[in-house]
Amino acid sequence: MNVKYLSYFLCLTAASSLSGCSLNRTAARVTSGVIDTGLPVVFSESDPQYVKEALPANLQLMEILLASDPGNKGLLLNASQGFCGYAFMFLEDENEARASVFYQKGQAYAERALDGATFETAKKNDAHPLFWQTFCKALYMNINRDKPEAIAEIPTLEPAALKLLQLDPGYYYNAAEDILGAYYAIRPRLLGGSPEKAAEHFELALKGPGADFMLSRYLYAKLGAVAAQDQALFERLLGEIIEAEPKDGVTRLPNEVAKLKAKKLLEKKDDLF
Amino acid sequence: MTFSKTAAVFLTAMALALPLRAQTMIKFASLAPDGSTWMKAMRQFTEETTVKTEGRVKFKVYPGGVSGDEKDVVRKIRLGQLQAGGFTGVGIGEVAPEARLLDTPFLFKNAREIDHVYKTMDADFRKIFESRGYVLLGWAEVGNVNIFSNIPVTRPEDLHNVKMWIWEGDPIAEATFSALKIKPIPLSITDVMSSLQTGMINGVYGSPLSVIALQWFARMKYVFSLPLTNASGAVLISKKTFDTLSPADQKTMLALGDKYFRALTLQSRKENEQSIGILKKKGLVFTEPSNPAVVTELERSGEEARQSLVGKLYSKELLDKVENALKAFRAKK
Repeated sequence: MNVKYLSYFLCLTAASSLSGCSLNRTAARVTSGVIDTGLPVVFSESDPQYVKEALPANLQLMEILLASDPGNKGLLLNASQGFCGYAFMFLEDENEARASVFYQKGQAYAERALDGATFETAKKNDAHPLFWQTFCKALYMNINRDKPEAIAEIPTLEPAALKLLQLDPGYYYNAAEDILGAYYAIRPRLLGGSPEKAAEHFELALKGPGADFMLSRYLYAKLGAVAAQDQALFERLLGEIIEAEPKDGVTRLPNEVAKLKAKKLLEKKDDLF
Repeated sequence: MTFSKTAAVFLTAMALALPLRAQTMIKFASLAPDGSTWMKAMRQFTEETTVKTEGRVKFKVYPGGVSGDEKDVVRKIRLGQLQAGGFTGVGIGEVAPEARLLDTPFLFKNAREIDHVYKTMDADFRKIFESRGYVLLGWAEVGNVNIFSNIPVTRPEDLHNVKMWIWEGDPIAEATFSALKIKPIPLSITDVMSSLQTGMINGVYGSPLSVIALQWFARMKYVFSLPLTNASGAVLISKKTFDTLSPADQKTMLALGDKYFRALTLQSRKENEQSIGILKKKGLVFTEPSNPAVVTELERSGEEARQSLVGKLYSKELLDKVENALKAFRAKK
């Protein structure tokens, strides 16, 4: 092949990819940018039922866009957060099997965004995907405590959460502290659990950026207060969630969901203490 | 009928009717974590018992050791603060040391032998539990126990180079290691992890699933394939509480205990198998006995350990009965 033909061939390849693949990728990028900018609208919604019904279509849209732009880190991160958040807010209490699949999907998207980085090698710009990978994994384990393969992954939670606290301590309302709280709360003392350590971490989660994020209080009540068999703490935390004044902004949706969950959990008080 | 007579008849009728309508609240505790297979089986059992007894028997469940360790649970049952518990060998030993015979080393060669002996000895052990104030609702085995170490073990002498942990105060493990001529390091189970980290010990034992749940596996390299023993587990209820139930409700409870705890035993076996797969995936190497003579030697050590516990935990008669049941079962094949 002479030089003239080679350059013609290269041009043709470039043109065809620009007209097909690359065009799709460009479209995916534009749309994922719109999603990224628009997500705060979802988190600011005051009607959980509306989000519960509307979000699955958007999760699927993200998956469709990822087919055209598989390495889009922002989109991968939003998909991870979307699947885990949706499962935690709307699926877990009704259908653990479905929630588990969503958590695994969320974890897998975060892993793709990590692009080979692990908690050992993660740098500052890996902090957010590392957080969602760890958070999805922790939520999956929490409802799959009867599966040896899930139990075997528990040791990976603590080093990942500690790394997150180094890289970006306040990210997502201090939820790395929630992960550590859960890590110490869901295991019996015999298996290395410690209700006291769990309480320390759950308390830290409620400081600063986490003060108005009611799902952290919910986790503290559900896991921490139950592990410590502290009924007064359980009632106080759930009372605070239920009575919290609704505030507009990006914590509105999670806080409305926390209210619903807190009321349901309070009804189970007699079974838990 | 005068008013006072009517009242007397009415009151007598009430008094007779009351025990039938009375509700029994059974507080049940276990070390098993909430959400584990163990607790799932327990909850299925309690829920169905409540339904089938039309609400006469209700339960409150305390998982994950929130009521304390097994010795605490036994003490609380004696004090009437709890009425039932799910136990491993430690708790069973507190209630009926004789039953620990089933935990002695190298007794069973496979699951069929385990099932056969438990079935054959069922009435004997039920009687023993009842004499101590407990009713057996079901056996639920923890499973086969393996030795984990950081050097490969293929024969008993290899164990002499292992700094082996022993659960302090466990007479079965003491007799086992003594027969194997090992001097283990006694520690509480909660100190094992830190002692593995410091190198104070480098060998542990446990069922594959429990070694995963305890997170010890991350510190171990080798697993000796031949199980050291099969660890028992049992669900027991205070006889005092059980006796307050109507015969029909007692029957219901025993039948459901049989159903759910047998299923739990089978599930535990499956999960231990899965756990072996996970351990292999995590890079742990399973070693086999170097030759058949090693197996014979270990079985002889097991026999020695069992004999040494006669008079301490159980009688010679009980041991003979278990061994004869095994011999007869093996001869039939």
